[in-house]
Amino acid sequence: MNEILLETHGLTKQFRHYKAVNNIDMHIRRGAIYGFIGRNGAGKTTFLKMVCGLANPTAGEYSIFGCTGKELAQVRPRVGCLIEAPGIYANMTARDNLMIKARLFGIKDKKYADGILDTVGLSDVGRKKAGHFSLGMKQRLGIGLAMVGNPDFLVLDEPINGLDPQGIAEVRDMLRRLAQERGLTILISSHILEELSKLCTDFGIIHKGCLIKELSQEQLLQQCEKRLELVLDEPEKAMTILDGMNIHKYEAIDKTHLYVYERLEDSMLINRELVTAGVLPREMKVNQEELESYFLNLTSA
Amino acid sequence: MCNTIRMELYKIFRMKSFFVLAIITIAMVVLTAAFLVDDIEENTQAQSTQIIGINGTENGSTDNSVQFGITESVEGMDVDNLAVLEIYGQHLSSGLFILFNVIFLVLYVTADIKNGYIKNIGGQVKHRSSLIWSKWAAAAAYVLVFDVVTFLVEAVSMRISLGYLHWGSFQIHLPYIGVQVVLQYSFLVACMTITMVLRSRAFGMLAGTCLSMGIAGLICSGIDAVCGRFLSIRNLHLENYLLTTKMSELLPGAGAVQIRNILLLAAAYLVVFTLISLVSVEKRDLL
Repeated sequence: MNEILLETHGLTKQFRHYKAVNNIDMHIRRGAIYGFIGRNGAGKTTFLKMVCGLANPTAGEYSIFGCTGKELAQVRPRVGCLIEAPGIYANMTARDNLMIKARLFGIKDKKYADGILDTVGLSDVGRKKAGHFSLGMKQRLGIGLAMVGNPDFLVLDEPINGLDPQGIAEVRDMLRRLAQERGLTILISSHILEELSKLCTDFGIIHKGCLIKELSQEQLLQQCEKRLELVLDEPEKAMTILDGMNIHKYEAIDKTHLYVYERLEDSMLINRELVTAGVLPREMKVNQEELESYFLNLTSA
Repeated sequence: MCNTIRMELYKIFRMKSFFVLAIITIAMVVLTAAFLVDDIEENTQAQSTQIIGINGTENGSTDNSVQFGITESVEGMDVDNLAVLEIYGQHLSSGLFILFNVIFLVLYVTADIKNGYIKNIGGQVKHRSSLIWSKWAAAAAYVLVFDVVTFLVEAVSMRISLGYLHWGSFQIHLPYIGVQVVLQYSFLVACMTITMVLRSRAFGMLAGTCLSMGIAGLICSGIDAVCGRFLSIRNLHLENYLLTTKMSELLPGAGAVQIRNILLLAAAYLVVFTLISLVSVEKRDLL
């Protein structure tokens, strides 16, 4: 489970003087659903294009399934992608669209397309042209196209963009099911942290081309967990006192900030013990950060 | 590679524009066959007859002039002895078919860029060059199918229109038609390359139609004139190296040397434009 499937080292893409992607080191575990979060124009799509082999990096390198450089050609067919809008032929049916790509993998059996249509919930579209599909149906077809050839790694660029809440929930459930049933590793980008937090196991936050944070779901939830925030001058000393109180779930954020995640109801007691030991908290409050504000704080810093 | 070619073939013969242009082309072939007798009879009073489109000549001269537009001559043809191979060869050399082929192939090569399909597959092929080779193979299959179908339609139309079916000399016309098809394919590869490099359907279509109408000949004449006037380079005749010039120049029963030279020129075009396409697809990002 902890085997690294995608690893990038200093991946950079520069357009003239503008670095769209700047020195990104990313790590995606096999079997993970990795949420790649960033504001519009942060560099998500450019990064994904490089990973998918659609764009050449200006600097840096990356490995997929342990292959790097020219070896990547061998594993390219194992990476399915949906970059930006789903690339579909509007005047063809969903089945025809899938069959075009199926030919690339030497698949001629039309039942194969039916299987994918069933998986993405489009089994009842019949002969309807893809151009007449709703946005949600097009996104599903785009995901279906990415799945042709049974890839082990799916790269999805904003697949929930423009969908209504029900559509988002359906796509989310479908991706979760795919990851569980087929053991797929999924890299999914979005600018909506709230939505990805319900689906992903790992997260990477990109801002102005730089990957500013990589964290697991547990770490993210911990960030947004209800906590006692202490502002004091000697966090090391405070930690010893907390250990003495049998409080172990805490985190030193920096030289003056200490977050405590357990026994929040005992905040008065904690305060008294600290003061008794000569550690005077300058500020002390119980706080809970919303995912949205956590993301905004990170990207506005 | 074979799978990529199969995919392109599957795609090319399922495009709506393929059927639309096929219907228009077949209608054109039927119409030209229907009006053939009238045109030949009118030609008894005039030296040449325009069948389709416009016929422009530079400085009003008729010999050694740069022609543009789609022109077919029925000069010297006998209503009672019209051969399918001869008329079909005229269609090929006139640029009538090439215009329709350019329109379709520009639509074809830009379709997956325009709808984003290229991004579905661009990352999953082992070598991006296979995207070019497969397109070239699909275009070759398309040209062959197109030419065979239009030839059969021509034969049936002439049989109905004239009341008789005369194939003509296979010995004279088959090599001629073969070379015309090679020139046609080389020209189409050049147009597809221009479109892919420009990454614009509008500009690709404009360039393709202008070139198939012989605009390059006019441009070459202009360059010749400029070189002659300012660089003292005379008798440059750049237009002699154009595929469209060779198409209109070539006549049935041409000598082996002329055919060899024309095929060498077509091969040179194929190599140069294929190299440009390969470099473009390998080095540039897929948008």
